[in-house]
Amino acid sequence: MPKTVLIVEDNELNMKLFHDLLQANGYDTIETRNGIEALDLARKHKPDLILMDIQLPEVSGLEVTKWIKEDDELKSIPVIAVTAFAMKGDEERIREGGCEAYLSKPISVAKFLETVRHFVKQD
Amino acid sequence: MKSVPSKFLEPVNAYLEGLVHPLAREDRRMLLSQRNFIAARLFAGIAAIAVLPIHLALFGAPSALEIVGYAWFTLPLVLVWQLSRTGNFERAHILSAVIFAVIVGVIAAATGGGKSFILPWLVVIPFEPALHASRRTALAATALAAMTAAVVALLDVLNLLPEPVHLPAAFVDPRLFSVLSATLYMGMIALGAGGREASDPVANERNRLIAENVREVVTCHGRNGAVNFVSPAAEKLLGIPASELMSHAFFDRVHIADRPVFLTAIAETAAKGKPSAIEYRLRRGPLEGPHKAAPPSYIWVETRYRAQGQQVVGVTTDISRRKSDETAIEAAQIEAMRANETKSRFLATVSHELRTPLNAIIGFSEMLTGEQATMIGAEHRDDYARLIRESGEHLLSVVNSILDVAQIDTGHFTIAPAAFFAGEMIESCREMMALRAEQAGIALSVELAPDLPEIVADERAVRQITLNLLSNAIKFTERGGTIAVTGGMEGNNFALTVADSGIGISESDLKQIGNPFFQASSSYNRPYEGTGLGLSVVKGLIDLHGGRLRIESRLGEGTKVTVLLPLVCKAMPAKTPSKIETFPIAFGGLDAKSEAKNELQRAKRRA
Repeated sequence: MPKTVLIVEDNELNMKLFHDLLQANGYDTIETRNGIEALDLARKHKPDLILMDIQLPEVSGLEVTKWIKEDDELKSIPVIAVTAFAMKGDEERIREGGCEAYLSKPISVAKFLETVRHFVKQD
Repeated sequence: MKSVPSKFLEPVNAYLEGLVHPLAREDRRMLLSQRNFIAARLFAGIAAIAVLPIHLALFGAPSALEIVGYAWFTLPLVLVWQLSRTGNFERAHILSAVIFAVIVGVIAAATGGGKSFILPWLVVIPFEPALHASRRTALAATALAAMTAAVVALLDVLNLLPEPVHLPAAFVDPRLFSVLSATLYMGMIALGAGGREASDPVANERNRLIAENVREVVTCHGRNGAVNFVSPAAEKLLGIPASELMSHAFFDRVHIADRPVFLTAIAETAAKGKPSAIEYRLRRGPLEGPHKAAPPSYIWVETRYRAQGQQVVGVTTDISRRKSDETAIEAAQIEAMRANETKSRFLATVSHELRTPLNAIIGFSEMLTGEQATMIGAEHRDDYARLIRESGEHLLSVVNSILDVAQIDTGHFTIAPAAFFAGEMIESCREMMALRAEQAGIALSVELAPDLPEIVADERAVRQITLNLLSNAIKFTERGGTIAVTGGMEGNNFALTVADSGIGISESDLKQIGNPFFQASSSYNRPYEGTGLGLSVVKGLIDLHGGRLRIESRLGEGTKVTVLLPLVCKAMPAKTPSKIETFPIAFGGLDAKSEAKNELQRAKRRA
């Protein structure tokens, strides 16, 4: 059974990029561009991994990550922040916010896939 | 410059000065007055006691009347004790005048009443207080002397006086002797009083030197803050004579906001005896004058207070220069911090805005060329190439906006005004944005005034203004919302308005709007993509036309942006600073018609 990755990303093109990359590598994906919806989808589908953009409409990805890590049912799901916030100190702040890993945009495809594999072992 | 007798008198003087109340010692003149006063009374009292043994030797035990007489003559000693303890010089003078008047009165009554030789001494009574104490005391003493004379004269006329005592024959007429001795005594008192000022030009010169060259103002305050002494330097500090600062006039010049601090400092120093220092504002110049309308001018001063006996001594320094330096430094620091913050935010946002499209560009390129390439079907290849181009174009528009802002900011952007029909331009902008609005589920309407004239402006710039505003309105309006564009006249100006039913702008964010990269809400929480550069460019372009930008908005209720341009624009000099006129008010929302249209749109979409 393929592993499921929840992608939270508000930029359409980047969403398509992550979606296509993961699909091509044998993952199932669930997509949303909205943080609040992300929480509902996580509860409903129990994905194996969450890719989290930080700048999102209404609530930030950091906030959503906090909610996930406070939820006993969801906190075991690894969250990888994939963000264009790549200034000095951003990584520390985002990791402190509860994300298991941090990838800055623009991503390197190889590193991206490697990080995803690190957290989700394919059967 | 000390004479032999004064050298000889030094220990005596030192002892006498020791008897003066500590408070009176502060003022040299007062010290000398009280010292001389005490000296005279001590001498009189001691003389009376010294005469007693002689009396005993010559005449034997004194009669009851004589004992009362001696006791009366020793009263000045009590006076000295009182004065030394309380320092109340006025009361001492009045009591002294009473004692003296009674002595003169009794002697006059015993030696012929109105014809008595002693009467000239009555003149001496008000003379001493007049020279050394207050007018009030002098008046009281004068009244006392006159009363004594009147009582003696009255008793004389009514024949109530005893037989005059027989005086032993003398070489001189007792009256002449009396007048001479009284005059001599008055002369001595006068010398004791005025001598210091007139006789010591060196000290005077020194005082003048200090008054003219010391910037610090010395004041003495009572516990309630009332001033009883101000040094002459006050005139230089406040531009008014020191005499106009006495009593509560000083307090009246303390800035209202600083009065509590002022009173607290004095009260605490007076109560606890601890020195204190405060910084406060004092009003300068006359309170009322020809420039009544001019606002009062205040200077910053620092006063250090120290307790001294019952009062508080303040030393006041002008610190207005230091204060203004401090204020300037503080303002510069805040400005620098703000500039630094803006710069950091600018960099963070530029970085974010460039990285977002670059992610798609680099990611899709890698998919096309890297090891992933084999896994991609041919049908995706064209798709990816198109996405890379789209992202590239978006990236270019971000870069262009940054350059526009930078150019406008540095004054390198020029406009070329020419005549064109604004209505046509607005219509073509609507066409360009129609697709985006439709995709976002927003109803976009345009309403143009029928008599819209030709305007003279830079068409390319006005088009960019319109497109940026429309783009913002679409970005910040949720699905199902409306955007209404109107073109018309407002006074002599061409007015373009873009009103949306979007998220609106909070009052605090309105103040910052138009700063490059300012998008309401900060950093990670920025919910909407974009640089915030759009409005900044709009503002810059309007400034170049000599126009105005007005924003009315309320959070959650929508935003109405109005661009006002002169009908005939002239290229304005670069960097004409202007402010966006912002109004944190609801602009009445969008009218019922557009609301209905909105509903219609929703219905259509559901269908």
